[in-house]
Amino acid sequence: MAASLESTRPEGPSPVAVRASSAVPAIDVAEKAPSLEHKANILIVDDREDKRLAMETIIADLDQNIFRAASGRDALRLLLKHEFAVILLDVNMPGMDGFETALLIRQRESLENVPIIFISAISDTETHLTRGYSLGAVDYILAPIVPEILRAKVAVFVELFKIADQVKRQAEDLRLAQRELEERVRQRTRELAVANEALQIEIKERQRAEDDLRDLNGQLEQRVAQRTAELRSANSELETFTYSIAHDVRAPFRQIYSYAEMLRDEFASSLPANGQRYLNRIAVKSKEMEGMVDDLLSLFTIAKQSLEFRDIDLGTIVQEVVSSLKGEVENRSIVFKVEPLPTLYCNYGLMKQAFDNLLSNAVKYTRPREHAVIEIGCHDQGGEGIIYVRDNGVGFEMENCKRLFGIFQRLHRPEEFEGTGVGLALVERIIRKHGGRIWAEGKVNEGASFYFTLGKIENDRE
Amino acid sequence: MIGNKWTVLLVDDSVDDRLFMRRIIERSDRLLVVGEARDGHEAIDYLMGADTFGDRVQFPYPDILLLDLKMPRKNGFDVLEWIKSEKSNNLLVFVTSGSWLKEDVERSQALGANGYFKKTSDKHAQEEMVSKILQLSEGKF
Repeated sequence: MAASLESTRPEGPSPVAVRASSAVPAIDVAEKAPSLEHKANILIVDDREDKRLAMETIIADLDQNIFRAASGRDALRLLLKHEFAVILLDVNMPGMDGFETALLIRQRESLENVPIIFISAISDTETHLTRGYSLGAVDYILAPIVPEILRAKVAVFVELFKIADQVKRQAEDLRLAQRELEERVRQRTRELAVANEALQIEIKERQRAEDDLRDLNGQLEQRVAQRTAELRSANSELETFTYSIAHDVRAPFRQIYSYAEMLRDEFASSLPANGQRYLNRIAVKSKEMEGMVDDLLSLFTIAKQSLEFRDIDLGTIVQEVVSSLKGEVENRSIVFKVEPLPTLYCNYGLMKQAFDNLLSNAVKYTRPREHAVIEIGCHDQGGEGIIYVRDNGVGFEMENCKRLFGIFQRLHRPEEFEGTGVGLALVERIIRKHGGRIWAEGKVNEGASFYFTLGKIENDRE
Repeated sequence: MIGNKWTVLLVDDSVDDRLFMRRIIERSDRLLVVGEARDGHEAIDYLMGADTFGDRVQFPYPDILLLDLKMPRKNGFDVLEWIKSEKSNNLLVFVTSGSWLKEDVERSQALGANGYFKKTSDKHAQEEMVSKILQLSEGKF
């Protein structure tokens, strides 16, 4: 399509093009119509061949296509087939003369504007001029012909014709170009419509895919939520169950101890030494069990509680815990180094219990040290406050690190260090309840360090 | 009050705990256990003087109620509710329970208990309980 437009694009006539086409034979002109710069047709109508030849010779210099007709009838026949720039029409012809021929030519609508130059003998001038002009002649040439005049007149009409023809063809080219353009616009519009439709389909498909995805996502979220709810409920049931078992188990231990104590109080004197020792063991063991169950219950109490959180200065909590611990170990040399601590969003009771357990632990496991040093502080690590409790006590093997926080896990024999093995498990639960994490580092005989974080700290809070 | 002693009614379904509680209470020369009830229903009957408890010489109306929570028939909360509805203002009620649950403590307080003690075999804690009971009795009677 673009190529055909290219071929019809109007171009100004160039002298080079004119000369190049001048070699084309006169007879081929009709076929060469689409050529931009082509020769004009000139029709010579005369019954006498010598006169036709004479005129042809005169205008041959103009280098146009020359048609010859020997009669008005021949002329009309040629006029049906070709378009002429000018007709040289002899007035005096046998049969149909020039005037009659001109009349017939003018009757044809398509030919009413073809310039006609009448050729007439001087003797007839008077009558011929008037008649000729009334028939639409544009000019008159009197015989004998002056070649320069004939050539000049014909040249004017050829030029006129060519200009008119060019204007016509340019208009046609414009029309074609416009039609082409319109067609291209239509074509482009059609293509766009098709593309648009394809796009609409794709958009719909994508929307459907998105909807599907959203649906799936929603289903997944729902399933996760459901599963979480189920797990939470199962977990809560389990905790309630464990709590009630622990609670029920506690009473018999307390009662056994109470009876052992009653027995000791009232009948110790009547028991032999071995009996007294056994009784003591019953009392100690049942008391131990009661203590374990108590610790266990406090674990579940933490798990079940919904907690009140607020901004609490950890420094104050640590001071309280340290001073109460100092009262319990007046006979020991313990240095507490308390570095500045942040204010954290936490539960007062639980945090106090956590520090109490961690510091009591440190006090307990530094017992073999002549001079115990317990450090409490906080360092910032990537915007996260890490709180530490460090001692120079007996430490532990790192491979046992994980066991430290397990319930009833003990790394020492009871006769070395007393305890039920719940303290650190409790701390771990408290920290976890606050959304934080806890870990430990240590080495045998080189002390232990406990670290925990409660998430982001807000140190700058005033 | 009998003599210079405040009278105590023990309410507990455990015969062992009633025995321990009686010993703990009677370590004080200001307290006297005048009766025992094995559940909440019996406790209410005693307080009302219903049926066999009609004889107030044998079953004197107590100054102090030591009340377990978990019991058959009527539990401790039922008893607290009944006492509340009776609007009798001449009784101190202390809950003695094995429960550590905050909700049990809070509910007891909300129902008008004057104190809440966890059952313990620890002599020191027992002494603290007795002195707290005495202190509140002094204030009230």
